[in-house]
Amino acid sequence: MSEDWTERYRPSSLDDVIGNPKAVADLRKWAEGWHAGKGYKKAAVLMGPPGVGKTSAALALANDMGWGTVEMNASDQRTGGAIDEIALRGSQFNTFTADGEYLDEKSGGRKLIILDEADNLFGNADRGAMPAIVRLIRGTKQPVILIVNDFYALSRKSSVIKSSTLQIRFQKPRASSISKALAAIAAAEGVSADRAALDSIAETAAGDVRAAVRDLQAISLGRDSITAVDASELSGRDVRGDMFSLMAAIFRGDDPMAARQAMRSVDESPDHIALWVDENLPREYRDRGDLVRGYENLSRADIFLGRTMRRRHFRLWAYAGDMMSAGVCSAKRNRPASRDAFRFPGYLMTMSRSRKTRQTRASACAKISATMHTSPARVASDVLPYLRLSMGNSLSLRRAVVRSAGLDEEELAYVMEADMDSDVVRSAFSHEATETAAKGGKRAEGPAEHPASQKSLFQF
Amino acid sequence: MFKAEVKSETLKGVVNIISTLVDEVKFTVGSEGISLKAVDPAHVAMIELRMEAGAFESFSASDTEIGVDLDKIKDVLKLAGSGDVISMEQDEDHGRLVFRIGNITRRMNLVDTSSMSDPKVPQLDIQSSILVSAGELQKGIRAAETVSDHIALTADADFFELSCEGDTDSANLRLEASMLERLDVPGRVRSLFPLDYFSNLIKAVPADTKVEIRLDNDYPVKIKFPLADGNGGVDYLLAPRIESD
Repeated sequence: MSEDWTERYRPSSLDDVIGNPKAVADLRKWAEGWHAGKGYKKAAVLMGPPGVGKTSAALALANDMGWGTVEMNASDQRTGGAIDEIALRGSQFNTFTADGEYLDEKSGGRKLIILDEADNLFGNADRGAMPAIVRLIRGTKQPVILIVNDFYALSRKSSVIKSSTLQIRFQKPRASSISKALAAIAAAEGVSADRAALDSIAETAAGDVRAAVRDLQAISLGRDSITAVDASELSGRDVRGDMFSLMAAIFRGDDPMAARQAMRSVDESPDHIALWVDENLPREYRDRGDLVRGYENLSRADIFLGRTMRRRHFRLWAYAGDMMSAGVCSAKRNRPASRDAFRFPGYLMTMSRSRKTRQTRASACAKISATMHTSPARVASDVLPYLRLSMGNSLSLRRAVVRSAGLDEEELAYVMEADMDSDVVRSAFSHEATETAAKGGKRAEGPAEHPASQKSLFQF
Repeated sequence: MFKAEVKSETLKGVVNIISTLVDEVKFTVGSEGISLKAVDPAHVAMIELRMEAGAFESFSASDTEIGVDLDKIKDVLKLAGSGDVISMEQDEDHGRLVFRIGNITRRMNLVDTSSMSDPKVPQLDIQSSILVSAGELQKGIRAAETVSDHIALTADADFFELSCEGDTDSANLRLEASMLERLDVPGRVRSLFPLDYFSNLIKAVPADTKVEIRLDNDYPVKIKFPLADGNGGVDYLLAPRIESD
């Protein structure tokens, strides 16, 4: 089995990284800032589409600087604990490289800590990864590079990531630069390739250098010369677009069909995209006519979204999608004026921030509703305000509610609109604790273990 | 080719020490014995371990490399009682290592070694040398563990000290020259190390083993001790904490 060419021909120096001169210069400056010792950010984020050379640039940088590397990518276990153990720990101590060289920080010997695919952190498998990354960025004494495709997937989870890192954007290199690199590889491998063939491979790859090299290797398998005809065997690759390029196609492009196409390449549901369009529409379309027409089409899209859900007929999504992409795109009669960055939907942001509170409210209301023989919704709307007022005045009522409904500290804090460690909350529980201890085993069957107990609140 | 028999305690001791650093290792096998060098994933520690042919009950081998998953060897060790002799044989055709314990045969797939690095051992010139029993160090570690993640090793002409500073608490173990096997320290030296690496290693060493510690200022510590009644040994290097800022 022959080695993967993308590994064999990884650039060993930043000078050999294809394209992206600005990003490469920024990266070098950042690294030199570490040597100078002042005024640098401890961590850099390399962002850009897949295959443009982010990881290669990071490794080449370490090589240029004579730094060791500690790399964690999506194939490693990346729970919070694993990140603490490997990346954070590595960041606090001096370095032995994989070759067994000792690098002392005092004489400029460092290790570059690379968290590859840092935006691909998945729920349970990568539990606690986000806080660990924040700890790493805050506490590191070694340079850290995070590599992401989608910066917002990472930064929306933590503001530290935005404020404490240097963000460096990698663009897709032009087909001509990719073609040139392919020619060098083909020559080194002893494969004679005509110019048209390489151009065609580079074109198909659409800026993804890794894909281009893989394609070259695949085509060259068992051949020592390749032609444009061989190269044409490659079919076009599906390019996964991101939300920002979709927004650009809708609001700033003038081709409704292109906007529609862009929407299909984005891997998000139409109702999610509708929120994005809704958030950005008033910022993008400054002309009132455009705005009215834009919202008209968006509202039609929304009607389709509603019908989709009501009838459980997902075929209707297509119409919703067309209205919000091509429809909104074609609504403008004026040249787009805005150059601002597109915004993340405020609705989603608020909902995710308030999630914890909403959960607490739901569980508190459910527990109280069971003891009061009414619905949680009614508890929330009719009962809570009065209960809060009465409970605020009476410690014994607070205790009674806590006991009969089986509320925990967090839920009581929500009901009382107080902090968890405030006196109002604490007093209700400190007594509860001593009482439980005093009554001993009998309390084991008490309502605390049975939140849905049918005992009335007013039996105290 | 590799074929050997080894006491389960000896193998267990070796595996316990290596597994404090890495999950997979490459043993370099020669006619004189086996050795390994490895750097941990966080690149702060490095181990060099040798087992000479004399450490084995029987040993015959020619030059080769064996990559193993240490967790699997631990599973094999669970099959062996104390005093059992484990026989190991490389099955080159299937890329496996075959263990035999009594009537049990356990075959284990080897790990591909081509992607494993082959570190050389850095030349470090460290003057101060302390010889102390692992048991004494273990006492100090137990005291330190509840206090902080880092441990400071300090030595001067007349004492050697393990100390830990937490936010509110501190702990230390001070060993006077008379309590040490040897104390050869020209001037005061001190460095700070990750406690768990240090403690995991020291805990894996039998309490009566004499451990040599070579120490300098903000410089790696070298921990050296014999294995299998002197038929082998470990050199362990641990990088110091970066204290500038």
